[in-house]
Amino acid sequence: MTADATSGSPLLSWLERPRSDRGVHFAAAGDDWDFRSYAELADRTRAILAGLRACGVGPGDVVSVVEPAGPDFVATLFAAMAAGAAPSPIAPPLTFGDRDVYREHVLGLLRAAAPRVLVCAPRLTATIGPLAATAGVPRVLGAEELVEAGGDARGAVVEPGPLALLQFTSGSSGRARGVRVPHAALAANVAAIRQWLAMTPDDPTASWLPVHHDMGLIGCLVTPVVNTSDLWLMPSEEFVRDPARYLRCFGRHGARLTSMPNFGLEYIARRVRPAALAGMDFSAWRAVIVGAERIDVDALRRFCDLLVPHGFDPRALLPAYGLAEATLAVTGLPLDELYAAVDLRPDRLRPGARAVAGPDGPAPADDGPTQPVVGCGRPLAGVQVRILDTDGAPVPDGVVGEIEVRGPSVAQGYVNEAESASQTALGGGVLRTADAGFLHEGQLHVLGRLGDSMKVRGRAVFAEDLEWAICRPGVPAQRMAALLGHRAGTATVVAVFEQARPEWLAQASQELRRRAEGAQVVIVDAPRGTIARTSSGKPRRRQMWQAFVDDRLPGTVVTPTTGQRQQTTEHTTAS
Amino acid sequence: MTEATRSTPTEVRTEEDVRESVTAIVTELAPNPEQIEGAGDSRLVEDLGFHSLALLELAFTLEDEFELPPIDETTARKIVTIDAVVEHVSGILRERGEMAS
Repeated sequence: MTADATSGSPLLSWLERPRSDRGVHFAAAGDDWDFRSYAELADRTRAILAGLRACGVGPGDVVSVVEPAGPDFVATLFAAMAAGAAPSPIAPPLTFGDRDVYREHVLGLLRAAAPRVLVCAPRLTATIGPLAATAGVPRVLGAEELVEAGGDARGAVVEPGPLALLQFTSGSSGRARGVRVPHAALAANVAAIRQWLAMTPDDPTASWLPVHHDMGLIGCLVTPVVNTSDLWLMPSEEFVRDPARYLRCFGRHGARLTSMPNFGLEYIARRVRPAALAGMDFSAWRAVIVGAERIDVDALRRFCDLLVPHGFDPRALLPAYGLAEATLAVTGLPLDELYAAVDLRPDRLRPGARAVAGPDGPAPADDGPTQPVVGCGRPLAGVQVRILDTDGAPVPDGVVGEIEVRGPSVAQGYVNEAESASQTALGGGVLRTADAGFLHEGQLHVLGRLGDSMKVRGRAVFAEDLEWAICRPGVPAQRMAALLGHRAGTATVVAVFEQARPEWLAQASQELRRRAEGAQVVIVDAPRGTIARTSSGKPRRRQMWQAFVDDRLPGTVVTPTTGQRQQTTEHTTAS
Repeated sequence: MTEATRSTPTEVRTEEDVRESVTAIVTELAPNPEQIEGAGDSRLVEDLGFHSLALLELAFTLEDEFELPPIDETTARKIVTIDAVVEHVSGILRERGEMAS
């Protein structure tokens, strides 16, 4: 990093005297990479910055960006920050994704973000333009049009604006949650990640994560750029097509750092044949941050089985915990520490239970099957983590409760607070995550959501989205509620109906299979009055979730595939 | 389903061969494979739980197995069941003269 920081922000100092010998390698056709040096990217950033200024973009504004992970995504992202505005990335449509779901999703994001300008790749204008018009976005421009609007001038960096990022968590059907990330919070989190990984400009990163969400955006794009180290960036589709190409970034091109969710490790272990690794050397690979969903110790083991013969050090695997509301990273395993799992009884993994022995409590009885829970490391520099009971009081080590996060990376709030049905509470520098977990030997162990959402392949699925989809064909909203979380370690969706009609159950089963991909689906037909609600009519999901995991939820479980009914007391065996 | 698998030259396949290979690939990659129950009208997304990444993997695997050209999005949207996958693959093999009549 240069010492010269006329912009006043460590996030933008790379623009001041950018290096021409380092930059971003964007995956191109075949096995080629398109290298853009930081000097080129800084020049493009300044040209787009001049265009944003010409369009009246300034501090306090939002700039939505719908671009694939190419040079113009990087340049527009930093140009918006340099204009004092908050960039707000939106993912382009997935190849085989449902188009109607995508449209609803984007419309929700744009209505919440209210951008002054939307920057869009030319090939996406036909899809995005009409949505932007419906959402009342004043201007939609391509990066090239912005450069023209700015008269091909090079803009100067202004003082950082109030927000560095308007970051949407996943979700669909227009109930998007936009997290307001202050400039100082993003700078603090990037600094904490660099310190955690002891990043130097000689530590290249490689990534296949989408750049439109926290882990890919902050961990694998903003941090390497600010660090002015090389970055090898490939689209997720290319990783799915050829995961060995991603491994070549490390085994041939010298990448040393990366992040991915658990399913990425599984995918590599399943798809890559050992023969494809001939001649590769992974001994310089220092960090694989593993986060964004439950970590399966078996996936870590199989990943190591494949790569250790080629010099991979298992200590490079760094389980971590983070969320958009904390900008990104909260805890992570320190370098040089080997990941560890504790074997626990599934029935102890619920709020209020003692999961492991601690100084103030006895160990749970040692019988029955156990399941390994991987430690997600220790709080990063400046971050404080506590575990709270339902009354908000801290619990002893080893007891399950809600994870609370404090520190300079905690975001300011949601952009559409009133509409958000999230149980996650954000404000005054305190984040109540609505994630369940416990502390053990200084490490955070994460058990999943407390009823309102879950992660599937790194993306959040929200209860209110599922309720909206299930009720759309005519189910009265007050007769249904969705609960999401991890029961005994398995991602689980519970659709609770009050006196369901048979057609509701059949439709719900189909919708859930589509929208809650891969999760355990439990459909419950319950008597009237089962769904607990707040005075404003919102389901009390945390309370019902707790009843469900405790086997206290009334009603009968309707097995989606066969339509057979079982008493809910058989919950644990029904799964 | 045929019980006896005829031995055929590797370059010429029967529709039954294609069905067998496609069903095996779909079963291997399906997030909910237990929903197949041998039925060709099993739907990839609704019944078998294929999500966008799994669909991509399925497309790439079929391309590799049958040396297919990359599937375009319009065609992909029409392929919703195992039968439709078999039909798509067979159609291309037939055009290339790699299908026994």
